[in-house]
Amino acid sequence: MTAPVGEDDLTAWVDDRLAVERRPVVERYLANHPDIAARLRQQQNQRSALQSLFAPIAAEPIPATMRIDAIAASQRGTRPAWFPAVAAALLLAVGFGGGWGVRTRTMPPQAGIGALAREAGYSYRVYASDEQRPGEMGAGEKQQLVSWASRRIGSRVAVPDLAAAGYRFAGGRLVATPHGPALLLLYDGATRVRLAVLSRPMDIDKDASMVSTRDEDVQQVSWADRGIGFSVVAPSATTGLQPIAAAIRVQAAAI
Amino acid sequence: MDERAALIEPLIPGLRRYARGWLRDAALADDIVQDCLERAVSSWRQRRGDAVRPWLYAILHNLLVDHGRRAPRRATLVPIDTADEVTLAVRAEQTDAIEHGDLLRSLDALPPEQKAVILLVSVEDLSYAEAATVLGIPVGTLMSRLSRARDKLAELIGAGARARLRRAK
Repeated sequence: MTAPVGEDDLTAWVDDRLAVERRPVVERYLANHPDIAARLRQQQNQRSALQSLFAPIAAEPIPATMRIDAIAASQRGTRPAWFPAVAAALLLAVGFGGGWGVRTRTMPPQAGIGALAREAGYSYRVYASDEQRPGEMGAGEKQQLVSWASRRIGSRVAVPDLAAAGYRFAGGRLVATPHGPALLLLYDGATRVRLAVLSRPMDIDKDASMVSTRDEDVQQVSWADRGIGFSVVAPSATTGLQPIAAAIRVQAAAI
Repeated sequence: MDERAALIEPLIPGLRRYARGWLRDAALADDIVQDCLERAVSSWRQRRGDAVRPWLYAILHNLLVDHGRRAPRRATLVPIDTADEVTLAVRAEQTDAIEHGDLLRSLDALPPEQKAVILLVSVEDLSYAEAATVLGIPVGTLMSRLSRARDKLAELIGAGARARLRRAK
């Protein structure tokens, strides 16, 4: 049993892509149908005419602007100037209070570790839900992120390695807080859980021991060492946040 | 980074040729290829497991189609008498009795979706599966569209050549 000749056979014959075992079948068919054979030979002429017509273009040297290195370099140079606008918006929204110990039921903490934890919660809700582009810079741009953030924050930062806890670095960005720029790092867990680490210099609570807090859907562990505050954020159902925070603290102390 | 360049750059001559198949204006065609490459670099990670070649041709194809919608029938209808020698820099040589001027004129007269299948398969030598991926259609649809497009092109070439011969008399 041989499958009947189809239009797909004829098309493949024109393109010289017919499987070897189909060739004799199609050749026999064409021998018996001279009108179709003439049509296909015309299509073959057409194909080779097109190839010779356009061949010189592919032989031209490519413009230097099309080099991938050149394109990548120019894209690195043009980062959006989003920072001042976001900073202004957050300042308006949060207001600027001061003073240690301003903790009442109606007013959220506006300084110290409490403020840091709140800022981390805001940033987490905005950026951790972004599947496409959680960080301004992705995992492949860790070095650029570290040098950029260190410069903007005015203090040396690092990206903690949380692989041992099952979290992979997904990207990072600078975020605006009422206390200046902060570095937000995002990590992806195995079960689509996203974890964030916010860090920034502290004016108050330069050294603070770890505190766990919960705010609606998120939980946090926050602390400060040598003037830099850290807040680790995860969905409230996540377990094992405390040891992850401890691991980050150890790694950060080693910078 | 180097891997990205190693995968993309060998395909650039073909991408430029594909754009020139659509547009007679070489500078405009290169601008669109440049746009395609910039998008490819910035969205390299979103490509995930897709094969690079059909992915790149798909970006370029969509840009060319968009351009065609914005500038309907203008860029593609540069007078061929100047285009085939100046812009394309090819001699008006004969290839199996099909004259290049007739061929270009006829190609430009094809509907965009027919022109696309012919250029992708005959000129760019993409496999049927790759070309189908570029155009977002099933392979079967691609093959029947290709067959119809070739018949249509042959018809246009024949009509064009006859008209030219009549004018010459």
